[in-house]
Amino acid sequence: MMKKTLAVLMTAALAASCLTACGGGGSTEESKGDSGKDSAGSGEEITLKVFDAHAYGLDEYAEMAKKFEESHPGVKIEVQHAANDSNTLLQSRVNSGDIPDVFDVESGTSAQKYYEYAYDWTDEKDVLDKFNEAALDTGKDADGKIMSLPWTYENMGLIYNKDLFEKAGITELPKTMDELEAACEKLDAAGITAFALAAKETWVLQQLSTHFMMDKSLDAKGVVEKLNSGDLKFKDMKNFQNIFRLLDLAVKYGPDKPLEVDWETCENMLANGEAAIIHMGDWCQSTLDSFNPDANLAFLPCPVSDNADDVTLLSSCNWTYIVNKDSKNLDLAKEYLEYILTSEEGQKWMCDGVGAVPGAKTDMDVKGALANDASTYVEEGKTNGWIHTIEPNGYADIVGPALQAYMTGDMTAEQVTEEFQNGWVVQ
Amino acid sequence: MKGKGKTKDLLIFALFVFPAVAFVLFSTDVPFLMNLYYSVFDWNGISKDMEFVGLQNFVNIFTNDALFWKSTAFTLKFSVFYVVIVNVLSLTVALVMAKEKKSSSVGRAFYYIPYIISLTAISLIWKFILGPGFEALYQVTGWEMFNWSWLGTAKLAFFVVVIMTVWQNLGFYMVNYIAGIIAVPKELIEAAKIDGANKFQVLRKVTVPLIMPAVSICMLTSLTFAFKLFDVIMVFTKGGPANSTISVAYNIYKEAFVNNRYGMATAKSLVFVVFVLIVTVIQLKVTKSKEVEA
Amino acid sequence: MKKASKISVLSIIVFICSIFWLMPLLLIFINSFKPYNDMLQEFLALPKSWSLNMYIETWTKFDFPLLIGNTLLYTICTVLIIALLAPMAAYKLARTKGKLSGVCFVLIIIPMMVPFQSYMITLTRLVANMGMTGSKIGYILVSTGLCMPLAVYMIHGFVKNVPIELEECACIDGASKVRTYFNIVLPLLKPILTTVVVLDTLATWNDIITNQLIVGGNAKAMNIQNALYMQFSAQTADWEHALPGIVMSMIPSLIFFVIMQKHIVGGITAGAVKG
Repeated sequence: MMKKTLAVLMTAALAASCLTACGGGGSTEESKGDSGKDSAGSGEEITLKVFDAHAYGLDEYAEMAKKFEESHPGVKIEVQHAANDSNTLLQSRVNSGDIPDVFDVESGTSAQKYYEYAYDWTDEKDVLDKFNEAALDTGKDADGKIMSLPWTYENMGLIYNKDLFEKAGITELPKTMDELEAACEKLDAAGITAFALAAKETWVLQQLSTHFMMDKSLDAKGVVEKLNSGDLKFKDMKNFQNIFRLLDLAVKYGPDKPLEVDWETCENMLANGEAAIIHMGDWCQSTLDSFNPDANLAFLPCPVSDNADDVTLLSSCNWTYIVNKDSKNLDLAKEYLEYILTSEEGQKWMCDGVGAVPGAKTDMDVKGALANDASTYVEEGKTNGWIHTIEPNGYADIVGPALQAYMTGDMTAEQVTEEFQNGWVVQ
Repeated sequence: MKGKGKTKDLLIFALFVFPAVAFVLFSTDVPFLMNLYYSVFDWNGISKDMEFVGLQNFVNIFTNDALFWKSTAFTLKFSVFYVVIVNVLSLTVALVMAKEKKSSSVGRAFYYIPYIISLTAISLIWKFILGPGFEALYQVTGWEMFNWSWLGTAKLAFFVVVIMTVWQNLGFYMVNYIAGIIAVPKELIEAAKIDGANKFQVLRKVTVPLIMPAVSICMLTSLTFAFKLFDVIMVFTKGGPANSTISVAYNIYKEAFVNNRYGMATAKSLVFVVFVLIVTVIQLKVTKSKEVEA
Repeated sequence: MKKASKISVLSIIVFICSIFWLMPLLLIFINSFKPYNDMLQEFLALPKSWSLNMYIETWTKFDFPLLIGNTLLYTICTVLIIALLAPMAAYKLARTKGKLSGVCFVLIIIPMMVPFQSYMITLTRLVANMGMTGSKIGYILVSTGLCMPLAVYMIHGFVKNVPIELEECACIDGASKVRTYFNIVLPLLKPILTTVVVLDTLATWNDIITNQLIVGGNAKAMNIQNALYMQFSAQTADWEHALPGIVMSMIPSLIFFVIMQKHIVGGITAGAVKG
């Protein structure tokens, strides 16, 4: 017994001494950061920790951050670009108390979880005025307070290759399920693969399914609220069964091995004229450009029923930036966020580097062809919001694989519909 | 007198062993134990608020979590295939490589290459082997198997995972087996040969018993690797198609970071570790009993 | 005679098959010269040009000298600590009976059974509480700790085969236990130690996730694979820079592996002579 206790004690002592000894080196840097707060401007260096969940326009971002550093002597911007596993990394940083001063998350359900750490922007009218009203809505918490600021609009729907449609003799965009099927037939007759749905990606299938949950009389939020309250059931949704018709089309008129198509492959096929239609959003612009800058592409609002007015293109500011309210350099963090989202440099990053329409008001020309195409629909008020960012946690993880199972023939439409209903667990 | 000697022994023991233990405590044991605290909470992994739920998470695992048990079944099935195939193949390769001394260092490097390359690149390559690679082979050979949708069919996707992981890790076990084989004293083999044993008898009666330490290392590492299977699933199949290749580690990861049920995820990892411990202890006992002390 | 030919047939098969294992290197090499679109369109074809432009661009864009320096530092430190501590612990654990020894052994090998994903958050928290987030020392400590279990376990298995008489006669000679270890035992462990060094070098060299978690946003402390991995997301993939980067990062580890493999053979002979 004695021996054991001794061993435990010694282990602990060893561990502690070893760790504290080694830890000394690391912590000096941090204390330097602390003192920087008190003596800002006196030449001490302040490090602003930024977490960015994108891998788009990295060069423009670096340029933008550099300019900020130049105009703020003594300030260093330390950015972690964690495009992969961004949730995991952010979660572990928040947990370990190493909360970045400025960070971004997906708006809606994901962002809500971080709002208890977020600075409340509600009263900062000067800043808020620089943004579009609708864009700001994506950063509100349950009480309507603005806890985060929007990045860019992202739009998703079907994307089609204009040249291939022309080649197949399709002059008018299909607006109903029947027309879509007819278009697929025509493309097929012309020897073109009509549909390249990235069915290997469960997130693509899941996003596709949200089109068929839309009800024009409610907005995306309305649909979610009704599903939450139980007033709306999947089996009663008027367009929902058409998702299966669309998946059937994707299998019938798609590549030989539909479930092996990933996002990269489907975008490559579209850009190179090997497939006519995919489901994706305008975030894929830079990838499409790198495949074929001359590809003639545009959005095809997704037909969901027999009614031509029901077609949906979904648009939302789905990334949102949060300032850590407990930041040691709160004012600087706020200034930096305002800078990247609204300044000219920041807009250059979004419009040029990323090629998307900023959530902030802007006069700058947007580079992305798809984003420009989508904004004509946005201006006509023909778009809907996103459901998948405000749906319950864990739901996507259930329905994506279920849709795959439908495509492989392992589940029937009825069973999948039931999975959707069971997966929608209100928290 | 005796007590003093004991204290000295203990001190030497501490000097030799404790630094290593300290490193492991710090990087794994302590974080893992700290983590178990969350298994009795309902917590999303982010918020400052946690709700104490007692054993509810464990009850949920055993009563209301079909996916976890599906992933357990997948992991078990995978482990059996992986452990058998990878050990048989790597031992075969190692026997050849240990013999052919001149040409073997390049040959060994070849087998080791997939183990060196980052997994993102590996998955890119496999995507193309199964895609355009198989297409080309189908056109040349006309064999139907090259036309199957390997990643799009649940049953076949399982074998893709097995083949890919065996292919990737073979080099690791090969290196271990080679180290074991080379350590077998040449005199013993010569003696057996003089006694009239043929090559297969030498292998079975002399080499294999003497490399049992290497065998048990390889068995244990392959078994624990198989149980912890994660990277390939995360980067390559993403659990698909239709959740057919979800491993336990991947299920735990998704629970914690995608579904944000952190408490539940820790409860699962505890259940899982207990299970793995039981299996490995059995396995250790079995291989230990076969080892011969030299 | 017949038996001998059978074995060599097997040898031939094994050597032919090794090409199947070499293939990824060739494919990566070929494709590292292609633009993204060609990569997806004609993966198996030779590149249109062998221009080194992307290699040079990757080298400067990712600040490869810094990355290589960091990765080298991490690898060397990790492997040195492992090479010092792991055999000491393994040797003593294998030679000591009793509860304490058993407990320590279990503590060391348990991590082999625990999935990393299940405790990485608390690990990050622990590191942060010690103020070592973003520091190189913090990363080296964690990476050493993660390599330790397998290293100890492997050497432990080997030590049991080292004849005990050697140590005993050294003790009779009056050599202290510590000296016995360094003068007599350690040289005998050379073959397995070489294997361990190879494995841990490669593991540290190729690590992504630990570096991501511990180093965080500190770009100055990043290692190669982490920096390259950052170029990927669920919806973007910068293969044009990643593949040249992977090729460049692999060259040192490949050369290292080939050299060390020769050493393993050499080490055995040396050990055998002494033994």
